[in-house]
Amino acid sequence: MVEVSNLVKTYGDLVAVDHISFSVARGEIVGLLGPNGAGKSTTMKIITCFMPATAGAVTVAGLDVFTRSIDVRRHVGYMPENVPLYPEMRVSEYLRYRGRLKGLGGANLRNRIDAVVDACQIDDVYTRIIEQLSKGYRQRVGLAEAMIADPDLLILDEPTIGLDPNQVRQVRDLIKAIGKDRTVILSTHILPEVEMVCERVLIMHQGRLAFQDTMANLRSGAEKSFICEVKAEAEAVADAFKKIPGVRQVDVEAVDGWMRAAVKARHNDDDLREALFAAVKAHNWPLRDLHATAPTLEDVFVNVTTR
Amino acid sequence: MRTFLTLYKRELATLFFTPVGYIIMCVFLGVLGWVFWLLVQVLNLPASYRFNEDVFSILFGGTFFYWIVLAAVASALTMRLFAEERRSGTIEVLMTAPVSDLAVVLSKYCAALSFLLLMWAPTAVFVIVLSRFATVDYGVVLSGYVGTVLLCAMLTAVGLLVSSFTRSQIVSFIISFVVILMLFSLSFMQTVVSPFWRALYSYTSILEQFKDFPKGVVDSRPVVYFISVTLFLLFCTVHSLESRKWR
Repeated sequence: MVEVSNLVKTYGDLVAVDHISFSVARGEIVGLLGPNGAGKSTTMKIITCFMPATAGAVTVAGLDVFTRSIDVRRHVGYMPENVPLYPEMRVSEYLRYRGRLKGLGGANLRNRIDAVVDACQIDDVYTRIIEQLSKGYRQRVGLAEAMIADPDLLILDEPTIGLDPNQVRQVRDLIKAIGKDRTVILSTHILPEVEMVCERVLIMHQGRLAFQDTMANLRSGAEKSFICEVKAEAEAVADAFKKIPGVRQVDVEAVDGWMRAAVKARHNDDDLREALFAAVKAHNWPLRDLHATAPTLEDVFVNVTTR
Repeated sequence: MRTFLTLYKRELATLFFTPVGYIIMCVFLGVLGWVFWLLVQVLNLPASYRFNEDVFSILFGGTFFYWIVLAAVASALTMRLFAEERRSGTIEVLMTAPVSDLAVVLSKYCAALSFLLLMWAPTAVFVIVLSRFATVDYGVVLSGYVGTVLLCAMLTAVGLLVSSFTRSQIVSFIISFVVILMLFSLSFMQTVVSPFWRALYSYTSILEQFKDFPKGVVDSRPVVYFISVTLFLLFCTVHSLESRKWR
């Protein structure tokens, strides 16, 4: 659906996007992550034909964004950061206007408006003036607008910012539902959201693509560790746990009077919890916590973007 | 064409749905009405009889009110067209819809010009009122309106171009107001420059080009002048909008 190859964008001396390449397949939901100023919005603006690249090529649905700009725009629904809307218009007027602009008309336009109003749950503000709407409603009006022409590719720049937790959940479910048969690229700072919604993540850092992988790989490939908190001497704990077969590494640290041992297995698929409990029981140590952890997307993000 | 109409309707609706449009219209009609009343009064004084001047030949460009008000109104009507889209970020939504830059520029231009010309419509009352008490030279009235339409077309294009440079409505207003006043003042400057430049200043001066219209003369030269400058300014606006692509 989207092919980005060796994309470069400079603003004067500032290199905003520095030779990035990636592709997004039809039907994929991809999260574009990165610290502020990493080049996420710039990349999105280039894919949506708002501005051209300095070098490199971008195609959407096989069409070049520079030479076939108008055709590309027919395939794309875009919600920019901060959801700019015309404050003096009513929601109904705005959706009708944007629908017409995107080539809809007649019964088709009415059906699409009904569909997006329903999907984004904005029917109770449908006749209100946009200026009077709360942030959450504006966000959803923006989302409805992006979806109005039923685009193949939806590009959302921070879609859930400013929403309350219930609305965030609704928008997330909505994006998931759209992603079943459409392609979605979304940028966000909320990492758990990406873990819940996206099938693949791209992490940008200082204009470069620092990391890309599928969520499934991230989950299965991540190195698990087992956390066990007992009341005992540090050395005794380390010795006891190292004797368990299959243990590769034990790190012990004192946490408010308890010893916290982080145990890593030799094989990532092994579950050491039962063996750990047996060891604790054998020494008769008081136990307050035993659980398995995997590094989160946040750990990956911090690791990639602070190098 | 369909996208143009959609865009045009929205631009025009915005002018009608926001108070700014009405405030501009009130100020404009207030000043023009006052000037009309003043002219009628002055021309009725016994001392004025010997001038044998027509009210309408003075109303169209004969007082400085005409020029100042047009400069202010054209700047005020066009100031938000691009500046507000840039400030609020809606330009991004607008320019990522399947619309050409030309359609966007023309729709904004036509909407502002339509509103400006619509503001002139009530001044037909002046003609009707006067025709009941005196003989009106309709040729002068008609050519005065033709000149005014051409002038409005050009000033709207100036305002639109300036608005495309900035994200502040106030900056857009002030700059286009000053630019328009400077364009007017070119004819005063021909007296202070060398003879070679004098011809150029005279050709490019709006006042010089306009001066035949209120006399009832529609010459093709000023018509071509106003239309070609307008088209050139619109061409520049399209490129100013495109400049986001190479900045």
